Amino acid sequence: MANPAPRDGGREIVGGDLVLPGLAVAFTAYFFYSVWDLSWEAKANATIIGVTLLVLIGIFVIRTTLKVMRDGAGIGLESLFEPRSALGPRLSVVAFTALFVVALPWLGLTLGLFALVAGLMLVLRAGSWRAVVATSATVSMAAYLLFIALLNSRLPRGPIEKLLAALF
Amino acid sequence: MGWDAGFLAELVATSFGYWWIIIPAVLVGIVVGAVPGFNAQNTLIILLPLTLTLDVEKALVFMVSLYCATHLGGGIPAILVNIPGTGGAAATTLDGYQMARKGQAQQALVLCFTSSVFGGLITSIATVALLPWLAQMGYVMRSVEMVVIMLFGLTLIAVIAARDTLKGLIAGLFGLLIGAIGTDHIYNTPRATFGFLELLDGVPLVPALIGLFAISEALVMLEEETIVKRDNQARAAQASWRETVEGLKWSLKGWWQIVWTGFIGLIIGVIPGAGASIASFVAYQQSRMFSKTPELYGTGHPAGVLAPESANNGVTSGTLVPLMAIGVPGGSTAAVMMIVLQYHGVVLGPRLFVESPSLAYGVFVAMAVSYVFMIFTILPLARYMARVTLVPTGILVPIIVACTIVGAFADREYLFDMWLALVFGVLGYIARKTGYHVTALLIGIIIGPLFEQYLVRALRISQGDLSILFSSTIGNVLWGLLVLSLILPYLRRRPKPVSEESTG
Repeated sequence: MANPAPRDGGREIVGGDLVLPGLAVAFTAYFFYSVWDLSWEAKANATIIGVTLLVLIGIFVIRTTLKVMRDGAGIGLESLFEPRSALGPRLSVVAFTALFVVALPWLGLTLGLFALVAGLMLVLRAGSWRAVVATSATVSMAAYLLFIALLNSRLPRGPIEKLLAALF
Repeated sequence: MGWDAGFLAELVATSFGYWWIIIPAVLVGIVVGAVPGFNAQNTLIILLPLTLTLDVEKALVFMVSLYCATHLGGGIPAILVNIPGTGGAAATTLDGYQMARKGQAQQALVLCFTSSVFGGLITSIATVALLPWLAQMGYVMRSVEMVVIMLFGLTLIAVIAARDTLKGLIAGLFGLLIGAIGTDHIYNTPRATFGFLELLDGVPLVPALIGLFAISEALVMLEEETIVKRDNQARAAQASWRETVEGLKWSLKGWWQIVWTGFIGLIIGVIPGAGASIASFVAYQQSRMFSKTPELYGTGHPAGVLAPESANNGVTSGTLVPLMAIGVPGGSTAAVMMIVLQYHGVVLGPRLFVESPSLAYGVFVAMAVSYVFMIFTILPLARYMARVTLVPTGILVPIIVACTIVGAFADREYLFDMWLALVFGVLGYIARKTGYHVTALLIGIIIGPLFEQYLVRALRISQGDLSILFSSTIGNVLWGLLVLSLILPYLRRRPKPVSEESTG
């Protein structure tokens, strides 16, 4: 699923390609910092991998710089956000999922999942309200049956779980 | 060896007699394998009360049937939604998902099922015959060889999965470093944990798998109305039994590929720790290397599904070899099986083959029989499963996100793991959009802890001298193959002087 490099008026855009190496460099630096005072056994692995990683990133940065200087490639971050029409739905998925994890201890699994699926389907305009309610209810009830009723997992219990526990 | 044709026939008959155990185990295993976040290991742990109460033969038949079925099940979401149910199915996404996008999901599923079943069947039969020799492999592989094997596996993945080898290597090494998070193996001092107690044991694999594959894929999926490309929707909607038959014909055409890639899985499976994720990529790479049409791999080529799935299931019998022969589990699922066997008073190791040959060889016979049951259980369902690719992404994405984020919790039961899945989801999204294949990242994370364990062990033996990594003959051969695998793609890309052969 690797996307081909995006182009802006025939110009290759390569800025996005540097995001992951940037994160890798930051993480490697943090890893080195965290093992600085430890015995060699604790830092041998990180040192070997980290140094190799930094060398490869160095080569990659040189290659990208040459592309920019020689071929006139752009350094924008367009590749991360294209197509623009999907940007809103994408941010909604991330935001709704984060909200779900935050609210899970209060809402509980069943109600939380119902809200997550229904919210996302509404944002993504996935069908009529009946389809939204039916899909959300099916997913949340299946999760309740599997994780709470059958496996008795430690997933947070909310009002629905407490009500059902009182009834059965 | 203490067994003959009559003895073998008796084992086969006994195994078929356990159909009432095998069929439910296969069904549970397929579902478990298909759901990211669940795996054979944690399912067997959940089902310990059942396996501990059954007698040892029945418990073993149940466990191996479930274990084999999870390896098959992992390929289903890999093909349908580009989310491997298990790490071993990661290579299946490369061509399986592309086939689904072309409206050939049903054929891809049939290829997956047949290669899984026949790869698993052939290798489990071969294991019964070759067991004494295969068992020796565990002794040959020491820490130095293991370090090179893992680097070799990671390099292959980087070369195969990413279009740009340099990007693939960066992603793989980044994954290895993420896999090193947690306490070190000697002094238990925490490293790079960002202050989170939940990371002291290292990065949990299930949230990493869910984030890198499921959540990031859901974010990318939003760009399309359905998984199947618009031009192929009509073709996919009209799919009938004809497509199942077509998939069977393609499988038959690739029978030799199923056989030899299955053996790659078997051999890699015998090596403790190497696992299905490496085996399937090695098989994929080998299949591409010997193909007349290597350029078709990654575009929805049937051989790109046959090879990794056959190897993925060849691993199943391989991982049980060291367990039965020398009492060392070849993987985490084998470790759970060992607990059950020890509970029943079974002493694993060479004596088992003398004292209880029906149990020692029976495991592999039961495995072969469970594969026979599997093909009849799963094949008719391919037609209906393929319909998933026609569900609008507006419905599919919320369901994927909801089910997998809860799956992230299931393994360790920490809310923290849900956040971790989300973080890996964003990381995976960045990787996908910029051409760093998430598979290389994931495999790095999977083998990271084991890689460190073997590396530190080797370095302690040499008192920190790195030249020990080049001190073994097998290791040096593997180093040579590693370098070759990096150079070969560049050599093959050079223009051919003669006219190009037909791609078929």
